[in-house]
Amino acid sequence: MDWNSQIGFDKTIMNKVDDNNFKRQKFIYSAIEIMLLTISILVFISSVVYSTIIFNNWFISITSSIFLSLVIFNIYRFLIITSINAQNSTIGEYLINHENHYYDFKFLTDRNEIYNMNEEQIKNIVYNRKNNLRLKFKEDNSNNYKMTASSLSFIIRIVIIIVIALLFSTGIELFIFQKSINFTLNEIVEKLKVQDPDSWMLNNILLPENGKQFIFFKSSSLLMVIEILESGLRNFKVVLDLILLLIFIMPLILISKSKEIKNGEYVKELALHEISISFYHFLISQKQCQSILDNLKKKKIMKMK
Amino acid sequence: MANNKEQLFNAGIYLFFILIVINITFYIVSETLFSKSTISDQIIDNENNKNKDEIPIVFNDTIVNIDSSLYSWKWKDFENKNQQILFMLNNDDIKNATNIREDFKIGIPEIYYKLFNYDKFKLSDLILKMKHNIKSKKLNYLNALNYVCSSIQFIPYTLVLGNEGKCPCKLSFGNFSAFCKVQKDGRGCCSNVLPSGVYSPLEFTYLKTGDCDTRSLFAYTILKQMGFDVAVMISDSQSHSVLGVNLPNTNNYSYGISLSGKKYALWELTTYDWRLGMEVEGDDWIAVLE
Repeated sequence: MDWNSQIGFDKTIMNKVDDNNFKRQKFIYSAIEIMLLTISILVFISSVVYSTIIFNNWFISITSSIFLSLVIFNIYRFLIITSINAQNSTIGEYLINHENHYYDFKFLTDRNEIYNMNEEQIKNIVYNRKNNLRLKFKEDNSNNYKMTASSLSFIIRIVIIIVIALLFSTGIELFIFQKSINFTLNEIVEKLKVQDPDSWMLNNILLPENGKQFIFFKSSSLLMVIEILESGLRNFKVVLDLILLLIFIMPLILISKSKEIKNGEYVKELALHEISISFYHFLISQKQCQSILDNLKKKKIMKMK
Repeated sequence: MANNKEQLFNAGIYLFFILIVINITFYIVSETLFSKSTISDQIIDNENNKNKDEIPIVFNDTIVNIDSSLYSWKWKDFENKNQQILFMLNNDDIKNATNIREDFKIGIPEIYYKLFNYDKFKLSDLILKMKHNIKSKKLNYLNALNYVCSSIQFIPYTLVLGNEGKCPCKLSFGNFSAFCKVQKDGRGCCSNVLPSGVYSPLEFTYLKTGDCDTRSLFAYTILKQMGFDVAVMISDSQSHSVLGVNLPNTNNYSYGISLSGKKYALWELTTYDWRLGMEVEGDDWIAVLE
Protein backbone atom coordinates (compact mmCIF):
# COMPACT_ATOMS: atom_id res chain seq x y z
CA MET A 1 0.00 0.00 0.00
CA ASP A 2 1.25 3.47 -0.92
CA TRP A 3 1.00 5.45 2.30
CA ASN A 4 1.41 8.71 0.41
CA SER A 5 -1.44 8.32 -2.08
CA GLN A 6 -4.19 9.82 0.12
CA ILE A 7 -2.48 13.19 0.39
CA GLY A 8 -2.03 13.39 -3.37
CA PHE A 9 1.62 12.45 -3.87
CA ASP A 10 1.93 11.96 -7.66
CA LYS A 11 4.78 9.59 -8.51
CA THR A 12 4.40 10.13 -12.29
CA ILE A 13 5.87 13.63 -12.12
CA MET A 14 9.00 12.39 -10.29
CA ASN A 15 10.61 10.42 -13.15
CA LYS A 16 13.36 12.99 -13.66
CA VAL A 17 14.38 12.91 -9.99
CA ASP A 18 17.28 10.69 -8.91
CA ASP A 19 16.56 7.57 -6.90
CA ASN A 20 17.78 8.82 -3.50
CA ASN A 21 15.79 12.03 -3.68
CA PHE A 22 12.71 10.19 -4.91
CA LYS A 23 12.88 7.69 -2.03
CA ARG A 24 13.42 10.45 0.51
CA GLN A 25 10.47 12.51 -0.79
CA LYS A 26 8.31 9.39 -0.87
CA PHE A 27 9.27 8.63 2.73
CA ILE A 28 8.47 12.20 3.84
CA TYR A 29 4.99 12.22 2.32
CA SER A 30 4.29 8.69 3.59
CA ALA A 31 5.27 9.79 7.09
CA ILE A 32 2.98 12.81 6.83
CA GLU A 33 0.09 10.62 5.73
CA ILE A 34 0.69 8.14 8.57
CA MET A 35 0.63 11.10 10.99
CA LEU A 36 -2.68 12.24 9.52
CA LEU A 37 -4.11 8.73 9.79
CA THR A 38 -2.93 8.50 13.42
CA ILE A 39 -4.62 11.81 14.19
CA SER A 40 -7.79 10.59 12.47
CA ILE A 41 -7.72 7.46 14.66
CA LEU A 42 -7.35 9.68 17.76
CA VAL A 43 -10.31 11.76 16.58
CA PHE A 44 -12.28 8.55 16.01
CA ILE A 45 -11.54 7.32 19.55
CA SER A 46 -12.41 10.69 21.02
CA SER A 47 -15.66 10.91 19.05
CA VAL A 48 -16.64 7.39 20.11
CA VAL A 49 -16.15 8.42 23.75
CA TYR A 50 -18.28 11.56 23.36
CA SER A 51 -21.02 9.95 21.31
CA THR A 52 -21.38 6.85 23.49
CA ILE A 53 -22.06 9.13 26.46
CA ILE A 54 -24.55 11.24 24.50
CA PHE A 55 -26.35 8.54 22.45
CA ASN A 56 -25.57 5.40 24.48
CA ASN A 57 -25.71 3.42 21.23
CA TRP A 58 -22.74 1.73 19.55
CA PHE A 59 -24.08 1.95 15.99
CA ILE A 60 -24.78 5.69 16.09
CA SER A 61 -21.52 6.32 17.94
CA ILE A 62 -19.31 4.43 15.52
CA THR A 63 -21.07 5.82 12.43
CA SER A 64 -20.85 9.41 13.63
CA SER A 65 -17.24 8.91 14.73
CA ILE A 66 -16.19 7.53 11.34
CA PHE A 67 -17.86 10.53 9.71
CA LEU A 68 -16.14 12.99 12.07
CA SER A 69 -12.72 11.39 11.67
CA LEU A 70 -13.06 11.53 7.87
CA VAL A 71 -14.06 15.19 8.08
CA ILE A 72 -11.03 15.95 10.25
CA PHE A 73 -8.74 13.92 7.95
CA ASN A 74 -9.90 16.03 4.99
CA ILE A 75 -9.61 19.32 6.90
CA TYR A 76 -6.03 18.33 7.78
CA ARG A 77 -5.32 17.31 4.19
CA PHE A 78 -6.62 20.65 3.03
CA LEU A 79 -4.64 22.65 5.61
CA ILE A 80 -1.45 20.73 4.98
CA ILE A 81 -1.56 20.52 1.22
CA THR A 82 -2.33 24.22 0.92
CA SER A 83 0.77 24.93 3.01
CA ILE A 84 2.90 23.10 0.46
CA ASN A 85 3.41 25.68 -2.26
CA ALA A 86 6.21 27.08 -4.32
CA GLN A 87 5.09 30.68 -4.21
CA ASN A 88 7.97 31.76 -2.03
CA SER A 89 10.69 30.05 -4.02
CA THR A 90 12.50 31.25 -7.15
CA ILE A 91 10.40 28.83 -9.16
CA GLY A 92 7.38 30.62 -7.79
CA GLU A 93 8.17 33.65 -9.94
CA TYR A 94 7.53 31.53 -13.01
CA LEU A 95 4.58 29.76 -11.41
CA ILE A 96 2.75 32.95 -10.52
CA ASN A 97 3.70 35.04 -13.56
CA HIS A 98 3.49 32.74 -16.53
CA GLU A 99 4.40 35.64 -18.82
CA ASN A 100 7.99 35.30 -17.57
CA HIS A 101 8.00 31.93 -19.16
CA TYR A 102 6.03 32.69 -22.32
CA TYR A 103 7.94 35.84 -23.15
CA ASP A 104 10.88 33.98 -24.73
CA PHE A 105 8.45 32.26 -27.05
CA LYS A 106 6.76 35.34 -28.41
CA PHE A 107 8.99 34.99 -31.53
CA LEU A 108 7.16 31.76 -32.36
CA THR A 109 3.83 33.52 -32.56
CA ASP A 110 5.29 36.62 -34.21
CA ARG A 111 6.82 34.64 -37.00
CA ASN A 112 3.80 32.43 -37.39
CA GLU A 113 6.02 29.42 -36.85
CA ILE A 114 3.70 28.01 -34.24
CA TYR A 115 0.87 27.70 -36.73
CA ASN A 116 2.78 25.28 -38.85
CA MET A 117 3.76 23.04 -35.95
CA ASN A 118 1.95 19.85 -35.09
CA GLU A 119 1.16 18.76 -31.51
CA GLU A 120 4.28 16.58 -31.23
CA GLN A 121 6.52 19.50 -32.04
CA ILE A 122 4.73 21.70 -29.48
CA LYS A 123 5.13 18.96 -26.86
CA ASN A 124 8.85 18.83 -27.63
CA ILE A 125 9.17 22.58 -27.15
CA VAL A 126 7.37 22.30 -23.79
CA TYR A 127 9.48 19.31 -22.76
CA ASN A 128 12.74 21.06 -23.60
CA ARG A 129 11.66 24.22 -21.88
CA LYS A 130 10.76 22.24 -18.75
CA ASN A 131 14.20 20.56 -18.77
CA ASN A 132 15.93 23.91 -19.19
CA LEU A 133 13.97 25.37 -16.32
CA ARG A 134 14.84 22.36 -14.14
CA LEU A 135 18.55 22.79 -14.96
CA LYS A 136 18.34 26.48 -14.19
CA PHE A 137 16.99 25.75 -10.70
CA LYS A 138 19.61 23.08 -10.09
CA GLU A 139 22.41 25.52 -10.91
CA ASP A 140 20.70 28.23 -8.88
CA ASN A 141 20.11 25.95 -5.91
CA SER A 142 21.49 28.28 -3.27
CA ASN A 143 18.93 30.92 -3.95
CA ASN A 144 15.80 29.00 -4.67
CA TYR A 145 14.21 29.10 -1.24
CA LYS A 146 12.91 32.14 0.56
CA MET A 147 11.20 31.79 3.88
CA THR A 148 8.65 34.55 3.43
CA ALA A 149 5.52 32.50 3.98
CA SER A 150 2.56 34.56 5.11
CA SER A 151 2.54 34.48 8.88
CA LEU A 152 -1.17 35.35 8.96
CA SER A 153 -2.18 32.24 7.03
CA PHE A 154 0.14 30.16 9.23
CA ILE A 155 -1.47 31.58 12.39
CA ILE A 156 -4.96 30.87 11.05
CA ARG A 157 -3.98 27.28 10.25
CA ILE A 158 -2.46 26.83 13.73
CA VAL A 159 -5.56 28.31 15.43
CA ILE A 160 -7.87 25.96 13.51
CA ILE A 161 -5.74 22.98 14.52
CA ILE A 162 -5.54 24.10 18.17
CA VAL A 163 -9.35 24.32 18.27
CA ILE A 164 -9.61 20.82 16.79
CA ALA A 165 -6.98 19.50 19.23
CA LEU A 166 -8.67 20.98 22.30
CA LEU A 167 -12.05 19.65 21.18
CA PHE A 168 -10.83 16.10 20.89
CA SER A 169 -8.07 15.93 23.54
CA THR A 170 -10.58 15.70 26.41
CA GLY A 171 -12.22 12.73 24.68
CA ILE A 172 -8.88 10.96 24.39
CA GLU A 173 -8.13 11.67 28.06
CA LEU A 174 -11.55 10.27 28.99
CA PHE A 175 -10.66 7.13 27.02
CA ILE A 176 -7.28 6.83 28.78
CA PHE A 177 -8.80 7.18 32.26
CA GLN A 178 -12.05 5.31 31.59
CA LYS A 179 -11.49 2.66 34.28
CA SER A 180 -10.74 5.17 37.03
CA ILE A 181 -13.69 7.38 36.06
CA ASN A 182 -16.06 4.42 36.07
CA PHE A 183 -14.71 3.41 39.48
CA THR A 184 -15.50 6.89 40.83
CA LEU A 185 -18.96 6.85 39.20
CA ASN A 186 -19.65 3.50 40.91
CA GLU A 187 -18.56 4.99 44.21
CA ILE A 188 -20.91 7.97 43.77
CA VAL A 189 -23.80 5.63 42.91
CA GLU A 190 -23.18 3.46 45.97
CA LYS A 191 -22.95 6.45 48.28
CA LEU A 192 -26.04 8.14 46.88
CA LYS A 193 -28.05 4.91 47.14
CA VAL A 194 -27.38 4.97 50.89
CA GLN A 195 -27.37 8.69 51.56
CA ASP A 196 -29.99 10.05 49.20
CA PRO A 197 -31.83 7.43 47.16
CA ASP A 198 -34.24 10.03 45.75
CA SER A 199 -31.44 12.23 44.46
CA TRP A 200 -32.09 13.72 41.02
CA MET A 201 -28.48 13.10 40.03
CA LEU A 202 -28.70 9.41 40.91
CA ASN A 203 -31.94 8.74 39.08
CA ASN A 204 -31.39 10.88 36.00
CA ILE A 205 -27.65 10.79 35.37
CA LEU A 206 -26.08 7.84 37.13
CA LEU A 207 -28.64 5.09 36.63
CA PRO A 208 -29.62 3.93 33.11
CA GLU A 209 -33.20 3.99 31.89
CA ASN A 210 -35.24 0.88 32.68
CA GLY A 211 -34.09 -2.13 30.70
CA LYS A 212 -30.99 -0.37 29.35
CA GLN A 213 -27.34 -0.38 30.30
CA PHE A 214 -24.57 2.18 29.97
CA ILE A 215 -22.14 1.08 27.29
CA PHE A 216 -18.92 2.98 27.98
CA PHE A 217 -19.16 5.37 30.92
CA LYS A 218 -21.62 4.69 33.70
CA SER A 219 -23.21 8.09 33.35
CA SER A 220 -25.30 9.91 30.79
CA SER A 221 -23.75 13.28 31.61
CA LEU A 222 -20.72 14.32 29.59
CA LEU A 223 -20.14 17.31 31.89
CA MET A 224 -20.09 15.15 34.99
CA VAL A 225 -17.60 12.74 33.43
CA ILE A 226 -15.37 15.68 32.45
CA GLU A 227 -15.69 17.11 35.98
CA ILE A 228 -14.49 13.79 37.43
CA LEU A 229 -11.63 13.70 34.92
CA GLU A 230 -10.54 17.23 35.87
CA SER A 231 -10.80 16.52 39.60
CA GLY A 232 -8.86 13.27 39.23
CA LEU A 233 -6.05 14.65 37.06
CA ARG A 234 -5.82 18.18 38.50
CA ASN A 235 -2.81 19.94 36.93
CA PHE A 236 -1.72 16.82 35.11
CA LYS A 237 -4.61 17.41 32.69
CA VAL A 238 -2.81 20.49 31.39
CA VAL A 239 0.29 18.39 30.71
CA LEU A 240 -1.81 15.83 28.84
CA ASP A 241 -3.57 18.58 26.88
CA LEU A 242 -0.20 19.98 25.82
CA ILE A 243 1.07 16.57 24.74
CA LEU A 244 -2.04 15.98 22.63
CA LEU A 245 -1.87 19.51 21.26
CA LEU A 246 1.71 18.86 20.15
CA ILE A 247 0.60 15.65 18.43
CA PHE A 248 -2.13 17.51 16.56
CA ILE A 249 0.03 20.42 15.37
CA MET A 250 3.18 18.40 14.58
CA PRO A 251 2.30 17.63 10.90
CA LEU A 252 1.60 21.31 10.19
CA ILE A 253 4.80 22.44 11.90
CA LEU A 254 6.82 19.90 9.92
CA ILE A 255 5.22 20.95 6.64
CA SER A 256 5.63 24.65 7.36
CA LYS A 257 9.13 24.60 8.80
CA SER A 258 10.91 21.74 7.06
CA LYS A 259 13.11 22.93 4.18
CA GLU A 260 13.14 19.33 2.93
CA ILE A 261 9.49 19.79 2.02
CA LYS A 262 9.34 23.45 1.03
CA ASN A 263 12.49 23.18 -1.04
CA GLY A 264 12.03 19.50 -1.89
CA GLU A 265 12.18 17.86 -5.28
CA TYR A 266 8.48 17.06 -5.18
CA VAL A 267 7.42 20.69 -4.82
CA LYS A 268 9.82 21.72 -7.61
CA GLU A 269 8.59 18.98 -9.93
CA LEU A 270 4.99 19.86 -9.14
CA ALA A 271 5.65 23.50 -10.01
CA LEU A 272 7.46 22.54 -13.22
CA HIS A 273 4.60 20.23 -14.12
CA GLU A 274 2.06 23.00 -13.68
CA ILE A 275 4.20 25.48 -15.61
CA SER A 276 4.68 23.06 -18.50
CA ILE A 277 0.96 22.19 -18.69
CA SER A 278 0.11 25.86 -18.67
CA PHE A 279 2.76 26.56 -21.32
CA TYR A 280 1.53 23.71 -23.49
CA HIS A 281 -2.04 25.03 -23.40
CA PHE A 282 -0.78 28.53 -24.13
CA LEU A 283 0.92 27.34 -27.29
CA ILE A 284 -2.03 25.18 -28.33
CA SER A 285 -4.44 28.07 -27.78
CA GLN A 286 -2.24 30.37 -29.90
CA LYS A 287 -2.32 27.80 -32.65
CA GLN A 288 -6.10 27.44 -32.36
CA CYS A 289 -6.61 31.19 -32.43
CA GLN A 290 -4.66 31.49 -35.63
CA SER A 291 -6.58 28.68 -37.28
CA ILE A 292 -9.87 30.37 -36.33
CA LEU A 293 -8.63 33.64 -37.78
CA ASP A 294 -7.61 31.84 -40.97
CA ASN A 295 -11.06 30.32 -41.28
CA LEU A 296 -12.72 33.68 -40.77
CA LYS A 297 -10.51 35.20 -43.43
CA LYS A 298 -11.43 32.47 -45.85
CA LYS A 299 -15.13 32.96 -45.30
CA LYS A 300 -14.72 36.74 -45.63
CA ILE A 301 -16.91 37.28 -42.62
CA MET A 302 -14.48 39.68 -41.13
CA LYS A 303 -13.12 42.77 -42.71
CA MET A 304 -9.34 42.60 -42.72
CA LYS A 305 -6.89 45.43 -42.88
CA MET B 1 23.42 20.67 5.20
CA ALA B 2 21.21 18.01 3.64
CA ASN B 3 21.87 15.80 6.63
CA ASN B 4 20.82 18.56 9.01
CA LYS B 5 17.61 19.02 7.08
CA GLU B 6 16.97 15.27 7.22
CA GLN B 7 17.69 15.22 10.94
CA LEU B 8 15.13 17.98 11.55
CA PHE B 9 12.34 16.14 9.75
CA ASN B 10 13.27 12.78 11.27
CA ALA B 11 13.33 14.34 14.76
CA GLY B 12 9.80 15.66 14.16
CA ILE B 13 8.55 12.22 13.16
CA TYR B 14 10.26 10.54 16.12
CA LEU B 15 8.79 13.12 18.51
CA PHE B 16 5.31 12.56 17.09
CA PHE B 17 5.43 8.81 17.61
CA ILE B 18 7.14 9.12 21.01
CA LEU B 19 4.20 11.29 22.13
CA ILE B 20 1.79 8.63 20.87
CA VAL B 21 3.70 5.97 22.83
CA ILE B 22 3.60 8.21 25.93
CA ASN B 23 -0.19 8.37 25.62
CA ILE B 24 -0.39 4.58 25.32
CA THR B 25 1.76 4.33 28.46
CA PHE B 26 -0.63 6.69 30.26
CA TYR B 27 -3.46 4.35 29.27
CA ILE B 28 -1.62 1.39 30.81
CA VAL B 29 -0.75 3.18 34.06
CA SER B 30 -3.89 5.33 34.14
CA GLU B 31 -5.00 4.16 37.59
CA THR B 32 -1.81 5.38 39.26
CA LEU B 33 -2.08 8.83 37.68
CA PHE B 34 -5.70 9.34 38.66
CA SER B 35 -6.42 10.56 42.18
CA LYS B 36 -9.75 9.01 43.18
CA SER B 37 -9.67 9.70 46.93
CA THR B 38 -12.25 12.45 47.47
CA ILE B 39 -13.78 13.00 44.05
CA SER B 40 -17.04 11.21 44.79
CA ASP B 41 -17.54 13.31 47.95
CA GLN B 42 -16.75 16.51 46.05
CA ILE B 43 -19.26 15.67 43.31
CA ILE B 44 -22.00 14.79 45.80
CA ASP B 45 -21.28 17.91 47.87
CA ASN B 46 -21.33 20.14 44.78
CA GLU B 47 -24.64 18.67 43.72
CA ASN B 48 -26.15 19.14 47.16
CA ASN B 49 -24.88 22.68 47.47
CA LYS B 50 -26.45 23.53 44.11
CA ASN B 51 -29.79 22.24 45.38
CA LYS B 52 -29.65 23.88 48.77
CA ASP B 53 -31.73 26.93 49.47
CA GLU B 54 -30.04 28.03 52.65
CA ILE B 55 -26.89 30.10 52.64
CA PRO B 56 -23.95 29.26 54.90
CA ILE B 57 -23.40 31.48 57.90
CA VAL B 58 -21.52 34.60 56.93
CA PHE B 59 -18.70 35.36 59.32
CA ASN B 60 -19.38 39.00 59.54
CA ASP B 61 -19.28 40.27 63.11
CA THR B 62 -22.39 42.40 62.71
CA ILE B 63 -24.50 39.57 61.36
CA VAL B 64 -23.25 37.02 63.86
CA ASN B 65 -23.88 39.32 66.82
CA ILE B 66 -27.46 40.22 65.92
CA ASP B 67 -29.10 36.86 66.61
CA SER B 68 -26.31 34.59 67.81
CA SER B 69 -25.15 33.50 71.22
CA LEU B 70 -21.72 32.70 72.49
CA TYR B 71 -21.12 29.13 73.65
CA SER B 72 -18.20 27.62 75.46
CA TRP B 73 -16.84 24.08 75.19
CA LYS B 74 -14.32 22.95 77.79
CA TRP B 75 -12.60 19.60 77.99
CA LYS B 76 -9.40 17.80 78.89
CA ASP B 77 -7.44 16.39 76.01
CA PHE B 78 -5.63 13.03 76.01
CA GLU B 79 -2.59 14.66 77.59
CA ASN B 80 -4.80 15.90 80.42
CA LYS B 81 -4.45 19.52 79.35
CA ASN B 82 -7.42 21.86 79.65
CA GLN B 83 -8.86 23.02 76.34
CA GLN B 84 -11.56 25.57 75.67
CA ILE B 85 -13.32 26.91 72.63
CA LEU B 86 -15.68 29.89 72.40
CA PHE B 87 -17.98 29.88 69.42
CA MET B 88 -21.22 31.38 68.13
CA LEU B 89 -24.46 29.57 67.33
CA ASN B 90 -27.44 31.15 65.68
CA ASN B 91 -30.41 31.36 68.06
CA ASP B 92 -32.96 30.67 65.34
CA ASP B 93 -31.07 27.56 64.28
CA ILE B 94 -31.17 26.29 67.86
CA LYS B 95 -34.89 27.01 68.20
CA ASN B 96 -35.69 25.20 64.96
CA ALA B 97 -33.25 22.30 65.29
CA THR B 98 -35.68 19.85 66.91
CA ASN B 99 -38.49 20.59 64.46
CA ILE B 100 -36.18 20.25 61.50
CA ARG B 101 -34.89 16.88 62.74
CA GLU B 102 -38.38 15.58 63.35
CA ASP B 103 -39.51 16.74 59.91
CA PHE B 104 -37.10 14.41 58.12
CA LYS B 105 -39.12 11.25 58.89
CA ILE B 106 -36.52 8.88 57.48
CA GLY B 107 -34.58 6.05 59.07
CA ILE B 108 -30.95 5.19 59.65
CA PRO B 109 -28.65 5.62 57.72
CA GLU B 110 -30.40 8.12 55.38
CA ILE B 111 -31.03 10.58 58.23
CA TYR B 112 -27.29 10.79 59.00
CA TYR B 113 -26.66 12.26 55.58
CA LYS B 114 -29.57 14.70 55.84
CA LEU B 115 -28.53 15.92 59.28
CA PHE B 116 -24.88 16.25 58.26
CA ASN B 117 -25.79 18.15 55.17
CA TYR B 118 -28.15 20.42 57.05
CA ASP B 119 -25.92 21.20 60.00
CA LYS B 120 -22.47 21.45 58.48
CA PHE B 121 -22.92 25.14 57.72
CA LYS B 122 -24.61 25.92 61.02
CA LEU B 123 -21.53 24.71 62.90
CA SER B 124 -19.17 26.77 60.78
CA ASP B 125 -17.98 28.94 63.66
CA LEU B 126 -17.20 25.96 65.89
CA ILE B 127 -15.36 24.24 63.03
CA LEU B 128 -13.47 27.42 62.22
CA LYS B 129 -12.37 27.89 65.82
CA MET B 130 -11.27 24.26 66.15
CA LYS B 131 -9.38 24.53 62.90
CA HIS B 132 -7.74 27.73 64.08
CA ASN B 133 -6.64 26.10 67.36
CA ILE B 134 -5.27 23.05 65.53
CA LYS B 135 -3.24 25.34 63.30
CA SER B 136 -1.98 27.55 66.10
CA LYS B 137 -0.95 24.48 68.15
CA LYS B 138 0.74 23.07 65.01
CA LEU B 139 -0.85 19.68 65.55
CA ASN B 140 -0.09 16.88 63.11
CA TYR B 141 -2.78 14.73 61.43
CA LEU B 142 -3.22 12.25 64.30
CA ASN B 143 -2.97 14.86 67.05
CA ALA B 144 -5.59 16.97 65.30
CA LEU B 145 -7.90 13.94 65.28
CA ASN B 146 -7.12 13.40 68.97
CA TYR B 147 -7.93 17.04 69.70
CA VAL B 148 -11.41 16.82 68.13
CA CYS B 149 -12.29 13.33 69.38
CA SER B 150 -11.14 14.03 72.97
CA SER B 151 -13.59 16.95 73.08
CA ILE B 152 -16.43 14.56 72.21
CA GLN B 153 -15.31 11.71 74.47
CA PHE B 154 -14.99 14.11 77.41
CA ILE B 155 -18.78 14.61 77.44
CA PRO B 156 -20.44 11.88 79.52
CA TYR B 157 -22.63 9.38 77.71
CA THR B 158 -26.40 9.93 77.43
CA LEU B 159 -28.63 7.24 75.97
CA VAL B 160 -30.82 8.54 73.13
CA LEU B 161 -33.95 6.60 72.20
CA GLY B 162 -36.45 7.10 69.41
CA ASN B 163 -39.89 5.61 69.82
CA GLU B 164 -38.54 2.09 70.52
CA GLY B 165 -38.30 2.54 74.28
CA LYS B 166 -38.79 4.86 77.23
CA CYS B 167 -36.58 6.20 79.99
CA PRO B 168 -35.78 5.01 82.62
CA CYS B 169 -34.61 1.72 81.19
CA LYS B 170 -32.34 -1.21 81.81
CA LEU B 171 -30.15 -2.34 78.97
CA SER B 172 -27.38 -4.95 78.58
CA PHE B 173 -24.74 -2.24 79.06
CA GLY B 174 -26.30 -0.48 82.05
CA ASN B 175 -29.19 1.20 83.77
CA PHE B 176 -30.31 4.63 82.63
CA SER B 177 -32.23 7.27 84.54
CA ALA B 178 -35.34 9.17 83.50
CA PHE B 179 -33.52 12.47 83.10
CA CYS B 180 -32.65 13.80 79.67
CA LYS B 181 -29.54 15.68 80.72
CA VAL B 182 -25.82 15.12 80.94
CA GLN B 183 -24.93 13.18 84.09
CA LYS B 184 -21.41 12.66 85.32
CA ASP B 185 -21.89 8.89 85.64
CA GLY B 186 -23.09 8.67 82.02
CA ARG B 187 -26.54 7.40 82.98
CA GLY B 188 -28.65 10.13 81.37
CA CYS B 189 -31.39 9.03 79.04
CA CYS B 190 -33.47 10.89 76.41
CA SER B 191 -36.50 9.24 74.83
CA ASN B 192 -38.80 10.15 71.97
CA VAL B 193 -35.97 11.66 69.92
CA LEU B 194 -37.68 11.24 66.57
CA PRO B 195 -37.46 9.86 63.99
CA SER B 196 -34.51 7.54 64.66
CA GLY B 197 -33.05 8.18 68.12
CA VAL B 198 -30.26 10.42 66.92
CA TYR B 199 -29.63 14.09 67.70
CA SER B 200 -28.43 16.40 64.98
CA PRO B 201 -24.82 17.69 65.27
CA LEU B 202 -26.20 21.14 66.12
CA GLU B 203 -28.33 19.75 68.98
CA PHE B 204 -25.36 17.79 70.33
CA THR B 205 -23.32 21.00 70.30
CA TYR B 206 -25.59 22.86 72.71
CA LEU B 207 -27.36 20.01 74.58
CA LYS B 208 -24.20 17.85 74.92
CA THR B 209 -26.44 14.80 75.19
CA GLY B 210 -25.57 12.00 72.83
CA ASP B 211 -24.98 8.30 72.47
CA CYS B 212 -22.87 6.40 69.94
CA ASP B 213 -24.37 7.49 66.62
CA THR B 214 -25.03 11.09 67.68
CA ARG B 215 -21.34 11.34 68.59
CA SER B 216 -20.12 9.59 65.44
CA LEU B 217 -22.26 11.89 63.31
CA PHE B 218 -21.05 14.98 65.16
CA ALA B 219 -17.39 13.93 64.86
CA TYR B 220 -17.91 13.13 61.19
CA THR B 221 -19.46 16.57 60.54
CA ILE B 222 -16.61 18.44 62.22
CA LEU B 223 -13.79 16.36 60.76
CA LYS B 224 -15.25 16.08 57.27
CA GLN B 225 -15.63 19.84 57.07
CA MET B 226 -12.02 20.18 58.18
CA GLY B 227 -10.96 17.93 55.29
CA PHE B 228 -10.29 14.62 57.09
CA ASP B 229 -11.14 11.35 55.35
CA VAL B 230 -13.66 9.94 57.86
CA ALA B 231 -16.89 7.95 57.93
CA VAL B 232 -19.77 7.03 60.21
CA MET B 233 -19.50 3.27 60.83
CA ILE B 234 -22.25 1.02 62.09
CA SER B 235 -22.36 -2.64 63.15
CA ASP B 236 -25.61 -4.60 63.17
CA SER B 237 -24.21 -7.34 65.41
CA GLN B 238 -23.05 -4.79 68.03
CA SER B 239 -26.00 -2.37 67.53
CA HIS B 240 -23.37 0.30 67.77
CA SER B 241 -21.83 3.18 65.86
CA VAL B 242 -18.26 4.51 65.86
CA LEU B 243 -16.15 6.92 63.82
CA GLY B 244 -14.14 5.54 60.90
CA VAL B 245 -10.81 7.12 59.89
CA ASN B 246 -9.08 6.29 56.63
CA LEU B 247 -5.35 5.86 57.26
CA PRO B 248 -2.52 4.58 55.07
CA ASN B 249 -1.98 1.62 57.44
CA THR B 250 -5.61 0.85 58.28
CA ASN B 251 -4.90 -2.93 58.23
CA ASN B 252 -3.05 -2.57 61.57
CA TYR B 253 -6.25 -1.39 63.29
CA SER B 254 -9.74 -2.77 63.89
CA TYR B 255 -11.38 -1.67 60.70
CA GLY B 256 -14.60 -1.59 58.74
CA ILE B 257 -15.17 -1.14 55.02
CA SER B 258 -17.29 1.02 52.78
CA LEU B 259 -19.45 -0.32 49.96
CA SER B 260 -16.71 0.61 47.52
CA GLY B 261 -14.13 -1.38 49.53
CA LYS B 262 -12.37 1.49 51.28
CA LYS B 263 -11.06 0.63 54.76
CA TYR B 264 -11.64 2.78 57.84
CA ALA B 265 -9.94 2.36 61.23
CA LEU B 266 -12.57 2.26 64.02
CA TRP B 267 -12.65 4.79 66.83
CA GLU B 268 -14.98 4.48 69.84
CA LEU B 269 -16.30 7.88 70.94
CA THR B 270 -18.52 6.99 73.89
CA THR B 271 -15.66 6.40 76.36
CA TYR B 272 -13.11 9.01 77.42
CA ASP B 273 -9.46 8.39 76.51
CA TRP B 274 -10.31 5.67 74.00
CA ARG B 275 -7.48 6.08 71.48
CA LEU B 276 -7.42 5.33 67.79
CA GLY B 277 -5.95 1.85 67.45
CA MET B 278 -7.64 0.32 70.48
CA GLU B 279 -9.59 -2.78 69.53
CA VAL B 280 -13.27 -2.39 68.74
CA GLU B 281 -15.45 -5.52 68.89
CA GLY B 282 -17.37 -6.80 65.87
CA ASP B 283 -16.46 -7.83 62.35
CA ASP B 284 -19.38 -6.42 60.39
CA TRP B 285 -18.57 -2.72 60.49
CA ILE B 286 -19.65 -0.82 57.40
CA ALA B 287 -19.42 2.85 56.47
CA VAL B 288 -22.87 4.39 56.06
CA LEU B 289 -21.75 7.98 55.64
CA GLU B 290 -18.37 8.88 54.13
